[in-house]
Amino acid sequence: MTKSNIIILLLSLLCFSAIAQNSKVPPLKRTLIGVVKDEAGKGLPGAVVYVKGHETIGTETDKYGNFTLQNIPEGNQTLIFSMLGMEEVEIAYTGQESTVVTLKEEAASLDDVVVTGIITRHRNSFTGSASTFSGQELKIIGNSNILQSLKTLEPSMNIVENNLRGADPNTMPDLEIRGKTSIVGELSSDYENVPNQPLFILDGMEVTIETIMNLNIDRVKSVTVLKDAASTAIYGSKAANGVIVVETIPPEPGQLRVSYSGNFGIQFPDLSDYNLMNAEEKLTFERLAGRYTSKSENESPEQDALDALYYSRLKAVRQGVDSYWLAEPLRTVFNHSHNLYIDGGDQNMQYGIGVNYGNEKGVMKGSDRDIVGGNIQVRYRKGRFTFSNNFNMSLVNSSTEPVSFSQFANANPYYRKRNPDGSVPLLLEDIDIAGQSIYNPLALFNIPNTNDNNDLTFSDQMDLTWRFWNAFTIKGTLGISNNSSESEAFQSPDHPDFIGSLADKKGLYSTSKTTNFSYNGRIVFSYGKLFGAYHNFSANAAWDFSSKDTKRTGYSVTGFVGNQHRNPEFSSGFNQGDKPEYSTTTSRSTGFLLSANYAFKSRYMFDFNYRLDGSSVFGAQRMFTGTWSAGIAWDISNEAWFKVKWIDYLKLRYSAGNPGNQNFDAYMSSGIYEYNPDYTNIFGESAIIQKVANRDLAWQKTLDQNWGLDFTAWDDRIRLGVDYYYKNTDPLLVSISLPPSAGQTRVYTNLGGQISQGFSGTFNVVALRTQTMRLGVNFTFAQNKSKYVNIGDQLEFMNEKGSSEVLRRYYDGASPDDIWAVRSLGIDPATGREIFLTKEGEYTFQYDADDEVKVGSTAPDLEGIIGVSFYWGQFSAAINCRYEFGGQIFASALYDKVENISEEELYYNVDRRALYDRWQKPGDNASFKAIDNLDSTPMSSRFVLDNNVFTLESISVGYDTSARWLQKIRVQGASIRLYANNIWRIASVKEERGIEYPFSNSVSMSISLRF
Amino acid sequence: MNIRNIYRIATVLAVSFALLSCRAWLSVDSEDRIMEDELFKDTDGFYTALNGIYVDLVNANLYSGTFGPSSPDVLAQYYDTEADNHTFGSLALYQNEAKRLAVSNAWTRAYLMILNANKILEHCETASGTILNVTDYNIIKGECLGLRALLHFELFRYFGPVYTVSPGADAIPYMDVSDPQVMPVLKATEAAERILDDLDKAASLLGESDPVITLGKNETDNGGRNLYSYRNLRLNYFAVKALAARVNMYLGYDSNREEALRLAEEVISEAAEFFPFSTRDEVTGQAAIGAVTESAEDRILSSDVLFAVYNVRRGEDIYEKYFSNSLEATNLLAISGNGYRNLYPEEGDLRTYQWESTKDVLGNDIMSFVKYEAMEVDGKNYPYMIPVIRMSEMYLIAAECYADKDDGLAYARLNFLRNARMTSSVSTNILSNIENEYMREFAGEGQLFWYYKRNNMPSIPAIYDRSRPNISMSTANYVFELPQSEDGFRD
Repeated sequence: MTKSNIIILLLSLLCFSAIAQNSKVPPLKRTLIGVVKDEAGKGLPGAVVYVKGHETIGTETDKYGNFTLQNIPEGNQTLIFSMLGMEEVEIAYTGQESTVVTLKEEAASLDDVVVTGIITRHRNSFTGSASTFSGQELKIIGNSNILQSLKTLEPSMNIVENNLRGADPNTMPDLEIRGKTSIVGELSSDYENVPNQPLFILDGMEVTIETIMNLNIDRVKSVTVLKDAASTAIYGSKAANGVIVVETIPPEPGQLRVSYSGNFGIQFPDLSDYNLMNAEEKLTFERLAGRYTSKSENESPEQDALDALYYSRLKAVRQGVDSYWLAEPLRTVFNHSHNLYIDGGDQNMQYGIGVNYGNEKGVMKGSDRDIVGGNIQVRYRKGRFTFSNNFNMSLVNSSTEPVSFSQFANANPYYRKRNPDGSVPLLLEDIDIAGQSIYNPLALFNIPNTNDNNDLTFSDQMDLTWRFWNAFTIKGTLGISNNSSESEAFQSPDHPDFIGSLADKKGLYSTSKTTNFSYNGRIVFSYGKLFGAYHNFSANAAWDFSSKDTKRTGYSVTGFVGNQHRNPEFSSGFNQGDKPEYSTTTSRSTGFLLSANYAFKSRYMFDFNYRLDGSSVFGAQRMFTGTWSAGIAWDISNEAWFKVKWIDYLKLRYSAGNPGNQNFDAYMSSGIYEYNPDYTNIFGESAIIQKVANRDLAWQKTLDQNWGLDFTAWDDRIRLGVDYYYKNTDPLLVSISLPPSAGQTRVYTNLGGQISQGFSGTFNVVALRTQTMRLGVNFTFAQNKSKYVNIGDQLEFMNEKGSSEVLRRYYDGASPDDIWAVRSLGIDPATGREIFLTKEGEYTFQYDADDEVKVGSTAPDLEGIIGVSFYWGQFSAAINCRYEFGGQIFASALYDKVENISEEELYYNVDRRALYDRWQKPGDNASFKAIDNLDSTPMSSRFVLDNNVFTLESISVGYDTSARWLQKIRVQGASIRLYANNIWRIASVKEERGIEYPFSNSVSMSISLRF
Repeated sequence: MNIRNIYRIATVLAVSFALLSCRAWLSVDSEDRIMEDELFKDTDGFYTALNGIYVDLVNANLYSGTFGPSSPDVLAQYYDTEADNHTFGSLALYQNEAKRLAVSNAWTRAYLMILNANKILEHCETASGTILNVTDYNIIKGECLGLRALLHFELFRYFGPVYTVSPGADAIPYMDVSDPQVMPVLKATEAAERILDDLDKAASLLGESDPVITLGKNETDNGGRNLYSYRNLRLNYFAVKALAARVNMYLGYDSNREEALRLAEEVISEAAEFFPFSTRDEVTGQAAIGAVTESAEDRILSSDVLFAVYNVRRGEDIYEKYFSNSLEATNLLAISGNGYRNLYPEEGDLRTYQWESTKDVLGNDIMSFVKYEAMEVDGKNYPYMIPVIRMSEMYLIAAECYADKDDGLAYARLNFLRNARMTSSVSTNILSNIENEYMREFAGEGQLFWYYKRNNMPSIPAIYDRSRPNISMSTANYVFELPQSEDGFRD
C-alpha cells in the first residue's frame, strides 16, 4: 500500500460523511417536531429518531439538534432516540406534536467495552478476541503485581517458569500469549526484545515490561489482553505476540477524596523440590562411586591418603557434622507497599495526586528491590475540548545477591560451615579440581561482591480531545519520557577470583549508565454515526510516531587495596587493553492506521483494519510493512427469530489477518558490514562482513485465523467464552547452520512452514445467587500445539548434529515442542547397563542416535485454572488452582545430578536418588546406571517424564465494610484482604527448580481505606 | 461550510506531509555498522572493505597465532613444551585432538576473510569502470585474489596431504563464491591448481598498476588512507609472485620446482633493489634514532619483508601471550641455552637480536623469544609488523632448486643470504645448510614446519634442546583432520 492510497482512503472517508448528511422527505400528517439535547442543554446533531417496530420510519437531528419525524403509524407508538456514545432513550408517542429529549452520555461499564489503547470499542460490535479484567478482579487473585494476577485470569497467557532464577525480584518474567512465535533456530542478537514477549500499552502508550511490573496494582483500572489478529492489527507488526493494555484509574469529580491502600506480605523460600543428600548419604555415595579408591591397583601411598581422608570424614560425620547449606543464604522476608491517592474536582476540572512506595526483598539475602513512585493527573473539559495531562515518576533501586544459590546447593554436607572457634573458613577443600578449589559459599557470601542498580524515570503524557465536527472527534496525544539507569558493581580484592593476581589487578569495579530519552505521539480521527435505525458505522484514522535515543556508557577498573574504598578513584586503573564503553542508538517508528467497523441491526458486525508500519530498524530493505485484518461477527441472540428465552447472549466471531512480521524480518535480507574499533592501521577505516546479504529471502508470512463464541445464559448464571485459533506461517524464516568454510556459520533462509493451533476458554457458573450471597465456579483451559510442514529433509543435518545433545528435531509433522530421544528400557539388573530399544524394536546395549523417536512433547494437553469464588454480604473469598497435564519434561536434575555425575562432580553434593536409585550389584532393579560409573550417558527416554502439575496459585479472603465506627474516625469505607500465593504444589516430576535462585511462597494482606 | 473545507484541506495536507517526511525521519545511521550497498558505492568504501581483511589478518587465530608464531612453530619443535599440562604439550606430540583444536578457529576465521574477499570481488565487477577506475580496480581485485589464494594456501598446508606423497588426497574446499554455501572438499591437485590460478590472475592485475614495481615500498605517510604507499603492508605484486614461488616449492614436483625457481629469480632480480637486507645499523636501532638502543631494535629484520601484517597490539597479542618470561611455565614458549647456541652458532648473526637470555617465573635460565616484544619507534612500522613473506625465502628457494643441478649457483644464493645476515659462507652440505637457515630465518613466522612437511622429513630436531634425540615423524604427523565444526556437515 502506497502513501497515495492512504490519502485517497482518508479523502473518501471524509466525503462519505458529507454525503450522508441530508435526506429530505415530503411532509405528511402524524408528525412530531422536537429537539434532542445533551445534559448541558446543547442541541445534539446527528441523533437518530425512529419508531420502534417500524425501523424504516425515522430521521436524524440537524446541526441544532432539531428533528421532524413524519408518517408515524396509527396508534400509540414507542419512539427511540439514539446516538453513538449516548444512552438510548425510549418515549411513548400518543399523538403529541412536539417534544424535548435529553440524552445522557453513556457510562460504559468495563464489561461492555474493549479498551484497545487507541480506540475504545463496544464489546458487542467487536469481532476480535480480547478479554478485559478490572483492577478489583486482579486484586482478588494477588496483590504483588499485575502480571502474576493476570496469569491466573487469562488462560491464553502464560508466564514461562524461570527454572534458573526462581523468585528473584529483579528478574523480569518471560511472557507468552498463545504459545511461542514461529522461529526456527536462534535469533540474531540484533533482535533486542525477548522474542515471545507481548507489547505493553499503558494509558495508550507503549511501555516496557519493567514499567508494568513496577506499576502499583492499586492504580490499575483495567487490563485488556488482545489476542488475535483482528484486535492486535491496530498495533501492526510490533503486536505479533499479542498486546496487554493497561489503563490506570482516572481522577473522578467530587469532593476531595483520600484513599490509601497498603500491601503487607511474608515471603518464604520453597525448598520442597530440593532433594539433596545428607552427610552420611553423601559420604556413602562417594565411597560407592569410588572416590576413595586409588586408580593404581596395588596398595600405594595414594590409597593410604584416600583411606585417611575417608575415615577422617566418617569420624566427623559420626560426630554429627551434617551441614545444611541451603538455608544459609535464605531468609523469610516481610514486604510491604503503600499507595496514597487524592483526587477530586468539579465537572470541568478534575485532579489526582498519588504517591506509592514498595519494598520487595528477595528470599535470598542481599537481593532487594525498592520502588518509589508518584503521579499527578489533571483533566480539564470545556465545551468540545477535553484536555488531560499525566505526569509520572518512578525510582527503582535494586541489588543482587553476592553468591549464586547453586553454590550452596553444591556444597557437601560433611564440610563444617564454621571452624570450632566460630570463624568461617574460606576453603572447604584444599585440593584442585581442574584447577579450582572448593570455596566455602558462606565465606564468599561475606566477601563484598555487590551489584546495585538504580533506575529513575520521568514521563509525561498529554491528551487533547476535540469533538470538532458533528460525528467527528480528533484526539492528539503527546508523551515524553526520560529514563536513566545506573549500575555499579564491586568485587572485593579478597575474592578468590583474584587469588594469584598481581596486587594492581585485584578487585573489580564496574559501572554503566544507560539513558533513554523517548518521545511519541498520536493523532486519531474518529468518526462514528448511526444511519437510521439499522446502520452503525464508525471509522478511525490514526497516525503515530515514536522515537527513542539510547546512550550507554561504562567502564571497569581494577586494583583495589581493601573494601573500605570502593570508589574508582582508589583503583589503580584499567586492565590492559580495556577501554571505556560508549554506544548510542536511535530507533524510530511511525505508523498509519485505518480502522472501520460496521454493524447492521446489531446482528451482523464487520471489522476491517489496515496499518502501515515504518521503522528505522537498521539495515531494513523495506521501511514500511503493511498488516491487515478483517473480522465478522453474528449476534444470534439479537435475531428477531431467536426466541430461546434462557439464552441472554450468543455471538459467533471469525477474524483473519496477518499479524505482522516481527521487526527482525526487516533487515534479514540485507548485508551489513561492521567497523573494527579495536585494531587500526595506517590505511584508514576498516570494515568486515557482519551479516551476508540474502536478496532472495522472502518475508515470513502468517495468516492468523480466529473463531470465537461468546455465550451467557440464565440471567448471567452461565458464561462461556471460547476461542480457537489456527495460525499458518508459510514460508518460515529459518536460521540454519552452515559449515565454517561457507564463511558464515548461520544464515537465514526460507523453508517449509509451521502451523500453530490451539484453543482457550473461560467458563463461569454461578451456582448460588441470592441478594446477599453468590457462589461461583470458574474454569479456564488452554492448549497450544504446533507442527512443521513442508520442511522435507533440508534440515536433516541439523537433526544429526543435534542428536544426543539437543532434543528438538525438524521433520514434517514434528512439533517444536517435541522431545526426541532413543527409547530406553531401563537398567539391566544383571549388568547395570542401559538397555535401548532400536527403531526396529530390538533390544540393545548400544546407543545409536539413529534409533531416536519422538518420546514426548513439552506442550501440555490442557492447562488452566479451576477456581471457586464466594461472597456473602461484606465477606468474599476466592481459591484458584492451576492444573497442567499431558505434557512431558526432560528431567535435567535426574540427568545431571543423579545419572551423569562426573569425577569432578563427585566433589559436590548431588540428588539423594543417586545413592538409592542407582544400580550397585547384580540383581538390583535400579532406575539409574551403576553407581561407580562416572562416564557420561547420552540422553534417552529414561529422563523424559510425564509432567503433571497442580498448584494452589491463590487463595484470598476479603472483608469490606463501611461500619459506623469507621465513620467516626472519618473513614468512609475499608476493605481488608488476606492472600496465600503458590503455597502448595504437587508435581509428578521431582525436579530441582530455582537453580541460581530458589522459588518462594507467600502469605500477604492488603488494606484499603477511603477517607 | 468554508471552515470545514479548511479543516479537510489541512488534514489532508498534514497527513501527506507526514508521509513524505517520515522516510527521512526514519533513516537512522549506525555508528558502528554500515549496509553493504552503502559501503560499496564509492572507491573509499572498497578500500574500507579491503582494509577490513588486512586488519583482521592480525587476528589471534590467523597471523598473530595459528598461521604465524604459535602452532606451526610448536609443531616444528622450536619450543620446550615438556612442562606438565603445558598448553601446547599435546600439540607438540602431534596428538590428533590437539591438532584439530589448534586449527579449528583459524579455519573459521580464514574462511570468513575469504568470504570478505569474495564479496569485494563480486562488487568489483559491477563497479568496474563506473565507481572504480582502472588502477583501483586492478589493485583491489589483484589484492583480493592474492589474499584469497594466501588464506586457502595456509589452510592447504595444514589440511592437505604431503603433496609429493599423495597428491590425490582430499584437501580443502575452495571458496570462490560470495554466497555462503557448502562447497565440496577438493583433491589436493585441484585445490593447488585453484590457488596458483588465483595468484596468476592477481599477479597480472597487479602487474598493470601496482606502484611497488616502480616505487618499491614507498614508506611515506601521505596522510589519509595511504592508498598507494606502504606497499610492503599490502599483498603487492612482488609478494604475490613470491607467494606463487612458495606454493610451487611446496608442491615439490619437478615442474613445480622449475616454476618456483623462475618466480624466485624474477622476484630477486626485480625487487632486490626495493627490498634489500637489513644492515646491522638498522637492526640495532642506530639507523632509526641515531644510537644503538635496545628499545629501537628492528628485530624482525624488516627491510626484506615483502608482505607483513600490521598489528598495533603485537606485544600484547603475541609476546605477552606466548613468549614473555612472566608467563606461567605451562603457557610459556621458550628454548634452552643449549638449543639457542646450536641454532645460532655464529655470534654476529643478526637474528640473535630476536632472543634474550633471561629467567622464567621458576628462576630457570631460558632464552626468551623477544622478536615480537612491544616497542615504539617514531616513524617506523617494524614494531607492529608480523612478516608473512620475505625476500630471504626467495634466496632459499632458489638455492634449493639449484642444489641438484648447479652447485655454484646454489651456494651463491645461500651464501648471499648468510652474508646478509652477518654469518660466514658455507661450501658443503647444501641441503642441511638450507634446512638450518630455515630454522634461523623463520622463527616466529611459521615456515619451518611446512618445509619439513613438503620434504616429508622422517625425523626433525628438537630445536629447543639439541641434547635431546631427534623426533621421528610419520606422514600422519604432518596431516590435519578437518575441524569438528566442519566435519559434522560432511559425510
